[in-house]
Amino acid sequence: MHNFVGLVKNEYIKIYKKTSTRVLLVIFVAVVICYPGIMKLVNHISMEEMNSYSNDISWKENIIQEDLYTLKNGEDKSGLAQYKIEALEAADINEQWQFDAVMNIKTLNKADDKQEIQKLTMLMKTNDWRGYCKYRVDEPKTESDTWEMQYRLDHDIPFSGEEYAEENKIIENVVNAMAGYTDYYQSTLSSTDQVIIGKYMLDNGIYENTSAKNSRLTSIDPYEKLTFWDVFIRTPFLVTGIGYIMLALAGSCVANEFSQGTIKFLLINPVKRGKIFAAKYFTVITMGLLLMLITLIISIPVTGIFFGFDGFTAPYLEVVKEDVVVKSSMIHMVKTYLIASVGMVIMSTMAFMISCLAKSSVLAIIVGFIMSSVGATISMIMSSFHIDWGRYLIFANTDVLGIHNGTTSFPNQTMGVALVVIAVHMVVFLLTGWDAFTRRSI
Amino acid sequence: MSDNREVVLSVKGLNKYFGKKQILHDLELECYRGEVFGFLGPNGAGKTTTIKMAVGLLRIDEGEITICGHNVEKEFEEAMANVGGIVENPEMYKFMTGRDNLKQYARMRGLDFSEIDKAVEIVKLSNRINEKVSGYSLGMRQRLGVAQALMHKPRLLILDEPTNGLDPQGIKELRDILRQLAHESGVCVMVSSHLMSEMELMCDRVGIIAEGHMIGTYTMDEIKSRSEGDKASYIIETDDEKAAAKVLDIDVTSVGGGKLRIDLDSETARQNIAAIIKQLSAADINIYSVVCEENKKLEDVFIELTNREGDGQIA
Repeated sequence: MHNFVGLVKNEYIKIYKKTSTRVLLVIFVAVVICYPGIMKLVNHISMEEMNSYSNDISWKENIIQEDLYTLKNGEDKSGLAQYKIEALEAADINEQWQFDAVMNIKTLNKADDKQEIQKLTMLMKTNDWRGYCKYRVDEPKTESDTWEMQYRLDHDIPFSGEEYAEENKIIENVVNAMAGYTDYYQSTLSSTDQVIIGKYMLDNGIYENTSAKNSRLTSIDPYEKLTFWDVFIRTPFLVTGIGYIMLALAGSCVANEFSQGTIKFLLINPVKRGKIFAAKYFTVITMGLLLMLITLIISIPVTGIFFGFDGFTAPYLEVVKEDVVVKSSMIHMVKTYLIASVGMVIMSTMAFMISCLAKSSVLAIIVGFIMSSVGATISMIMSSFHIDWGRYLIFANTDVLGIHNGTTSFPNQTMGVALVVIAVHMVVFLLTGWDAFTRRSI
Repeated sequence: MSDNREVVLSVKGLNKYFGKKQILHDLELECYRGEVFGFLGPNGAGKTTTIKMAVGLLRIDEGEITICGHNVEKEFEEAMANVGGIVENPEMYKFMTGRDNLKQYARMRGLDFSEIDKAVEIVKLSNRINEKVSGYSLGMRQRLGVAQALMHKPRLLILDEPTNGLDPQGIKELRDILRQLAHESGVCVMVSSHLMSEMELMCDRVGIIAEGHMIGTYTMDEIKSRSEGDKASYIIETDDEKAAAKVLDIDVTSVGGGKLRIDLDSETARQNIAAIIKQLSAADINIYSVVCEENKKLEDVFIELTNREGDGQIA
């Protein structure tokens, strides 16, 4: 056993002592450090832009003015024009609910709506949001609407105000989800789960939940102020970079011994070839894991520096049989990293095999690189041509995260099939490489 | 030295094929504790192939090789624990220092790092050991290779053409190191070469291989006596070669400048030359020098032994 530790240590030293791998590692760490900074910069720019729009309510003003003009010129045939004018003049459009109420009044055209208009006008004049809620509860429109108004009454939550911003955001999400509408930038959760989780968060005073956050880099809401988790949850994209480093190591660690001529000195030792093979493979895999750990450890403080640690302890809420289970977000992140690395581990294993078979690091790295970058495309093409057996190819099964989230090119890929396909390939790659390495004439 | 006949390396009935071509034919070989064994043969004779099979780099097609009683294929780790070696060129990790390279081997063999300094001291590389190997000359890499091979105190040291790239001073030092290891520490040292002259001073015994066949193993004394042959030539320098030729009643050749060449049967050469000198002195002819010319050089013996078909082609 001490023998194996020595072998692995040797491999790590060989990697570390090479200038090229040192440069690669420095570049990678630089990317990890820069990522939150870049996110901060981009977010800052888009927020500045948004602020100049969102503080501008002149468009609401314009709508009101236009409506007043139409009403005053007698184009409204409902006979309620004077009441509507009164309502419009009473509205304080800084309050979103009052603007909503005004918009509602515009649609009232029957003679007996007069009382309703007057009632709403009264509520607006006294800025009575509770009255408005009661009015909406009494006049039910949709399930989500009734729930919202009842909730606001029960928990005394007004429509606006800095101190209620968090609650209002969650309420808005729940209402949207109840209506079956989910935000593109928001979660990958189903709308029913969103409703359950949203209600749970309101009941328990939890204002941030990481399970609702999308981990894809391309799905960032440009006009929302990013928090710690918005940025941190997306760091698994860095695993791709780690994968390419692993690919380079896997492709070169055997082939380089041949090209340097050191293979003879490596094998004239009282160590079986199988052990050397195992030590090399172990080094590649643990190096990948180590880099992931480094990424995690570096990302936390760096993200914190740029975005603050607000919500750092936010839980990961999961719906299990209509009940909410509170889980640790950090553990979920570690899981995500590991799942994200599966594809790269497979490609590295393949490169390792080629490295043993062909003794050429260039061939091994290039084939590995092409497979990992074109694989998804091949899978997509086969899927679009309805070549269904394509789902059993390794390309369609390396994206375990995608299979877990149900976002693969072949619909309904199951985790079971994926695991079998992956296991078969890994065994074939390792056995072929092992056979070539242990029996080769040097 | 040869009274201690403990077998360290044993090769029995070794055959090797590269495709259909047979590279080695029923090779038999034994190397003993405490000797420097020269493995001699022209290029392409199968020296490196045999060595590679002995250290497990090539598979053995037929036959078996044992090192200190351990079969190389079946008990690889036990066998290799007793072997140190250099096969072909001493290629090391160029991006590391000499010491870092040796540390690699120390870890694989479970050695203490203090062994590194001892080995480096022996090959006289101490002052450059902390430099990167990329800056080493071939001779320095060869020394590093030797240090690598002997740092774990192996009982069998196999060196494939170790004098490559060494200067005359380096060759002498290596020779001293190897002879000391064999004769004082009881190591079995196997050195391959295609130069007989190199082997002459270094080895106790040589095995000669040609075209995959073992020609035979000889002690250095046996090789030397072969080189002497059945005739011995003497050049006698006198003041008057014609007068000298008249005095002697045997066949002589005049080579000019007062010199005569006399060929004698090697068995009785010593008595006869003494008689000739007396005869000349008695005839009042001045003798300035008598030189014995070796009939054949060692290199000629080697070429004669290895030139099987006589066409001089590389096997």
